Amino acid sequence: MSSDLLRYILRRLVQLVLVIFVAVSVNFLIPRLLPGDPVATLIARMQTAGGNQSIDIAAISASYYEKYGLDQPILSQYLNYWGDLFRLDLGVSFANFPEKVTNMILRALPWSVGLLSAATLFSFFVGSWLGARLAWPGAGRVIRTTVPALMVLAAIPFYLLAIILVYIFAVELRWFPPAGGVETTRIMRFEIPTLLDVLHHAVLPFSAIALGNIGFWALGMRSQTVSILGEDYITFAESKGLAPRRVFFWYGIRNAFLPQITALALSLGAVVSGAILVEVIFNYPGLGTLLYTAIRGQDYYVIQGVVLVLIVSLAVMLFVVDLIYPLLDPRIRR
Amino acid sequence: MPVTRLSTALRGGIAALALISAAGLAAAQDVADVPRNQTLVLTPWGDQPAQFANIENWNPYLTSITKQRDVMQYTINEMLFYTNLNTGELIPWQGESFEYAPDFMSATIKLRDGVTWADGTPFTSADVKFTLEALRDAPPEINGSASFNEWVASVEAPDPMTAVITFKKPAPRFVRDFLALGHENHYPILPKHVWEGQDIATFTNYDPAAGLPIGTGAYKLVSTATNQQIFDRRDDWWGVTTGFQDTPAPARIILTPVSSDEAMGQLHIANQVDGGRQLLIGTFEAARAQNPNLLSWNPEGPVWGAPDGCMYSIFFNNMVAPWNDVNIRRAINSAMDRTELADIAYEGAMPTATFAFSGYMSGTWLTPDTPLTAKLESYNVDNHSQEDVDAHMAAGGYVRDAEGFWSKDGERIEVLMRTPAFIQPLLAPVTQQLIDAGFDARQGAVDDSWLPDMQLGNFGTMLFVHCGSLSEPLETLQHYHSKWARPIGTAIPNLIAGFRYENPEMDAIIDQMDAMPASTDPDSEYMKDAVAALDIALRDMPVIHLIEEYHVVTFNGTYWTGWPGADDPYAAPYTPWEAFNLVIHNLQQTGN
Repeated sequence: MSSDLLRYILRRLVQLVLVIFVAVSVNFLIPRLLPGDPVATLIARMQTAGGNQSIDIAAISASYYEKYGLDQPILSQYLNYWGDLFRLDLGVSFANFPEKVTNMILRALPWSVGLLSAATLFSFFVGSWLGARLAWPGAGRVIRTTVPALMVLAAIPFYLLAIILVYIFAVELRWFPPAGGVETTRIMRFEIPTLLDVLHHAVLPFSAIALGNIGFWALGMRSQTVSILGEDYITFAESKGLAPRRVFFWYGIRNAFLPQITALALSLGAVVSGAILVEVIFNYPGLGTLLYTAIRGQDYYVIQGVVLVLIVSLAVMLFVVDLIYPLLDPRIRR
Repeated sequence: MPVTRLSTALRGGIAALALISAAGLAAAQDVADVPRNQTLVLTPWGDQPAQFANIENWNPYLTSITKQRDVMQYTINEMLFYTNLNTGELIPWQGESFEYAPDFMSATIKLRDGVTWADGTPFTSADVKFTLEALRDAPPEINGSASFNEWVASVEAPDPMTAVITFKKPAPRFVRDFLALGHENHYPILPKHVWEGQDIATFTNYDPAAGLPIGTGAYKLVSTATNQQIFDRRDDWWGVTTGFQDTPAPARIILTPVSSDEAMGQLHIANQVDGGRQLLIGTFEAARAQNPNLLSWNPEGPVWGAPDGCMYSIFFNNMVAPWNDVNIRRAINSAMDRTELADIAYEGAMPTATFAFSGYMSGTWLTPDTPLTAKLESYNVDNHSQEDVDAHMAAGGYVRDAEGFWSKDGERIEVLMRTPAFIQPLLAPVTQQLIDAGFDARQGAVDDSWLPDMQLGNFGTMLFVHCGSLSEPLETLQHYHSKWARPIGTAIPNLIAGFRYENPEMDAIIDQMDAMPASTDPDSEYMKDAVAALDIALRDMPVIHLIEEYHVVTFNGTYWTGWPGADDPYAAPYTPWEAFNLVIHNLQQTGN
């Protein structure tokens, strides 16, 4: 490994650590700056959810403030927060005491990772390929009609697309289930019918995210491909007599693809935030629904935990993209 | 596809499934399959995360864990008595009868012979004694601990079938309120042989190997995961072996989470749920168009739903000016066109209200000839009239300023109407009606700041929910007692009484009522006190009631029939209420 490359990696690593430090600090502070008192919210929930019983507010407040360490100075809370993070302890849910936030996130994470990674990668590769094909001379009629339609879909927010898909494919045609991760009566076992049920339930949320993204990636790729069509290396490759397929993939897509990867890294945050409402609409048991419910219930520790996981995931993914980039484009190493 | 590629794909898929299963769904390996038409699928009330939390904590008394309210009350646990709130009928269950001492300083409960816990241990008065005294001594975060500490002095168990509760003060309604109401009183008796020696605040009540959680109910927990909780019918349930009840029809009950109104509507359309979370009227009607088997309390709309005992109301902060002026409060009442509010905010799906006596009171306390009805009618509360607004404001010394708004001494009355999000539909029409009546009114932000401000008294006017009488007038009237009021800046102990009203005359009446049993006899002291208290409440109007909260409780008749409704009101239809256990025992298969 060259010293330039090592320096590049170290620089990115420092950036990663810095981003995570700032993100964690902001993540700690923001919920505490919001109006409203989480303990008061908890007590009010006790009052309203359990009928109109009278309760000893002062005693409960004191008990919960102590339990959550909220009676300590903010600096102590901050230091404790870091200490807990190093032990992978994200605290305990306010709304679901004594459930550990880490457990809640671990249960939700696989659903979101599965849905988002599949939908994002699918839309990224399919969209990029379609965009390149559209820009490349000789695109067929199917490509020329499909891609603009997908670009229109890209203008529709995920959640709206989700509602439309539910109406058409779940309510009217009833091809796919409208909500949930599996059938409500499904007994979860390690067997094919369960897997098929999981996939069947993932089709519509997957489609809402993927359909909303394919046009976006196609649009970007088309612009990039158009810009490289007149490049000398394309002309050179064609004049060498290389097969059109080889020119398309190795000289066209490979060069036009670089900005797409940057865009992929930058768009991950938007995809995640957009997917939150998709999960809510589909009652999908992922991080989005967990975050949505936590925000509504002022469940600070869950909000902090989910946001932290999202921030760290995005930062790490950006870091990985940064590492991959030099492999794709040697100029970056310099 | 070549075989190798297919097997690779399958391996990948199974690996993905394993990942998801590892996320909390792996507990169901030994659970037998039960056909859908023998399975009752319910959701918890209200919005929940799409995954259950605390799946291995089945403590019914931790306030932050709502399992008793979500599902335990009609599966694992049972109550001593239930009450059909529609008729007031007491329905003995684990208990056979109860009787108060003449001075109401004690109550003797006779238990039903033959009741057993799921592990075969007899259910006895020792369990009752253990539970009530444990609640009396429990820390504040335990549901009901403050109340049990307030009322229960001790409990004796002179024989296995008899429990005698001694109170700290006369308690003529303790058994009904805590052990028999059938509403949000989640106080199941605990098995002493399991809970004794455990810390009630930390014991999880979960150990499948030991058979926990244990109750006397007709169902046992067979699987708990983040996406579903499964309860199978017990063949050895005491109710059948003693001949008390028939075997309940559902062989299995599944509780599944649902996070929104839309998701619930979709699940109903797809016949994936049978009941649970309420629907908004628009969602219900849209879903019913797709699935005609959906039903609610009433067979026809727009008032499909059933009362839940609460009223959407304007709470005044009676401790601060100008809201401590009865003339303004009465003027604002006259400014309200309740029918228009119900139509605009709730599509006519909820009835108007004049006082916080719920629909459950109408068959007993509020029939046309009762003194309470006469008193309510004498005040003509629902009388939208600008003339009355003008008269009340003039009586208070208010005049219209140059812009037509009510003012006093050159200072305009500003009405900042606030509300929590769940009553937001009312905010705009109420504000507009105030403006139309000459008040300089505006809408407050709909955020969570209402809550601490209401607790501490930092508000003037608040649209809020006044949950009151289901069984007797005192349940509402007690909220007018000054014991709930606190100085501005000090948190109140009961949001429902958040209007901070103080009146010694009212206090004296409420204290008298509190010490005597309820009576519908027009000549009884209780009724006379109730009428007197109602008179003060209507005269002073510290809170104005606008609309009665009716939820469109939705049941699916595809697989199950026998749901409660206006035609067959054998129980209130709310799943989080204790008496929903009666519904489970009334359901029958449709044959689909």
